[in-house]
Amino acid sequence: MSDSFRFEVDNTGEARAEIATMIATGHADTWQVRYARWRVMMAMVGAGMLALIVVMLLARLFTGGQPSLLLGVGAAMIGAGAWNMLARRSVGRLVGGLSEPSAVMDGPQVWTFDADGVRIVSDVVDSRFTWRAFDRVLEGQSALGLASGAVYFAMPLEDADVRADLLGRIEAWMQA
Amino acid sequence: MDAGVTEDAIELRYRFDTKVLPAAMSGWWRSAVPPQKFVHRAVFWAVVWLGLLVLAGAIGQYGLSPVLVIAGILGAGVMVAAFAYLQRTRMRQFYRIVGAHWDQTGEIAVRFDAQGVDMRDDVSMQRYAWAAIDAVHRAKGATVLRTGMAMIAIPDAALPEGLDPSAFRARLNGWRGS
Repeated sequence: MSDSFRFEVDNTGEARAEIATMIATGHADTWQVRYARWRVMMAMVGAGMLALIVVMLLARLFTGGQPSLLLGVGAAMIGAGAWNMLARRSVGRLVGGLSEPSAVMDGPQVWTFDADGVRIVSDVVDSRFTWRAFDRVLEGQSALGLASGAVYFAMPLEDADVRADLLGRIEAWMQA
Repeated sequence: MDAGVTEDAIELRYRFDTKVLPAAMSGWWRSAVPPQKFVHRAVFWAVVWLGLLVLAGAIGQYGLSPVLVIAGILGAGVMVAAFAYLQRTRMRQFYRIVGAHWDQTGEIAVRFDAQGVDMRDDVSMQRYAWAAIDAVHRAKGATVLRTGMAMIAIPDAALPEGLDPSAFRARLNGWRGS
């Protein structure tokens, strides 16, 4: 196959963030996302009840009296809130760290797709991957991504028709 | 590309052991997240504990035992521990999925020299100038190079005899800074 497609793109940071989010949320398998949400909800209920029991037992141990349910529920909610706050702070600090200018993501890049694979060239990186390097191609709202486990690349591509056409060709190349 | 260390270059050949992945990703995280100042942490926890003391005092005013605050803290701790456990199990699954890439790569040959990093494996060829490497960071059992949102992890086990990990990182940082 002699088809070759060349794209000159700039500022891939947003595209990378979009594709990273798609990978992280397991968009490809909706049941996985639903299962994960159910699992979290069940874990929250279970942990909440456990927290409630611990509080009731400890309160009875400390005071000898019957503590109110309100205290247990309050403790469980404070625990959930504390975890949420810690997680948000942690992610916020990571996003802050990654928002520093990076020569890899901020500069112009040239992407060339053909039957053998994809080549990505910028001022600081020259990478060539065969299609065997990737296990899936991802279509975002304004980006196209190639991923294999933790390794992924993303190219901003606003035009939906061009994106769909390229996606089809890449899928065919990957299966060839 | 043969493995070896010279004055001009370091060349390594290895198969990536995905057991190193959790520590490598942790190193990548620390390379991206700037350490928080001690003063900030101290003020944050001082405010938290002061708030709890005020709460203990307040419930004492309503005839309840202030010791109940300890029960509340421990209950909240159970909730946090449950979430932490859940996060651990999710991360184990995450590492298994993201580690699948290295099933394809086979043996990796990598060369570091004054120009940058040259990596080759069964499915790719990658050349990074030092300007593309945002950080060189120590991880448990590995050295992590952060490039944008991605990472290159070099297991300590891949280093030849006579080159210890800290000397390896010093040489990389020397090239990177020059």
